[in-house]
Amino acid sequence: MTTSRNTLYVTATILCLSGYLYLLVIYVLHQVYGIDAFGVCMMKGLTTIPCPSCGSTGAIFSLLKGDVQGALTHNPIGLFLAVIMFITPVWITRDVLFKKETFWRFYQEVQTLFRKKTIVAAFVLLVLANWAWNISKTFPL
Amino acid sequence: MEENKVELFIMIKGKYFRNYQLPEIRDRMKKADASTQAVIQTLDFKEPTIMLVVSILVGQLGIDRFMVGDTGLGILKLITCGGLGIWTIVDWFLIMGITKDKNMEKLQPFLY
Repeated sequence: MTTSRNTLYVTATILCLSGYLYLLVIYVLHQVYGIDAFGVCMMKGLTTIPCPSCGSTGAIFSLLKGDVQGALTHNPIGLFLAVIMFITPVWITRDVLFKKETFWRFYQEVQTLFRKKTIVAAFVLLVLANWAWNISKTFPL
Repeated sequence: MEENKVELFIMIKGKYFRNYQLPEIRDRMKKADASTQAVIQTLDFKEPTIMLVVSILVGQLGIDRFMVGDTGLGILKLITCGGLGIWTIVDWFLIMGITKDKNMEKLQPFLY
């Protein structure tokens, strides 16, 4: 069990760090070189169809400017992601410093929650609806 | 447990586990009683090759992680665009091993 816990902490830290690094690269590219489009999404690159979380970068940058409505129109997942990216490093640092495993327990609780069929169905529906909206934004009728 | 049945199990289901785990599984199964043997035969393991195909096709949506039981990481993979595409590629190489580990996790309670 210890290994899985450590794997989770390492994975979450790497994800958060790469997320911040990615945002920094995008910001520098925009500010210094004036490049706006920087697609890392493999699905969009291969098929031109956006993936469920495409637009999150735009959403986070809108949020940083204080434009919540703009963030929501970009992609609501971006808001969720911003909250996770803000909380996770603090939570992990706290756990490591105080030698606790509250983050690991929270993760396990989320996993137990997702064993319930109603919650999974609601989650899948939300993601699919958001995805459909995302596609309709790229290919307006 | 009959030796032939253990050998048959290892032959058929050996690909679901890591190679170094097989001798231990064989030993433990030989020591197990008949009822445990019956339960082990009915266990449903995930096929690593199929997980690799799933990972290559829809890994970006985190579906491979959902299927092996890592729901939390699956959600993270889904909402981060497959970890900016990097995690997707990393998982193409890791998913077979992860599937084998998860299969072992499923078998372990019956062996010890």
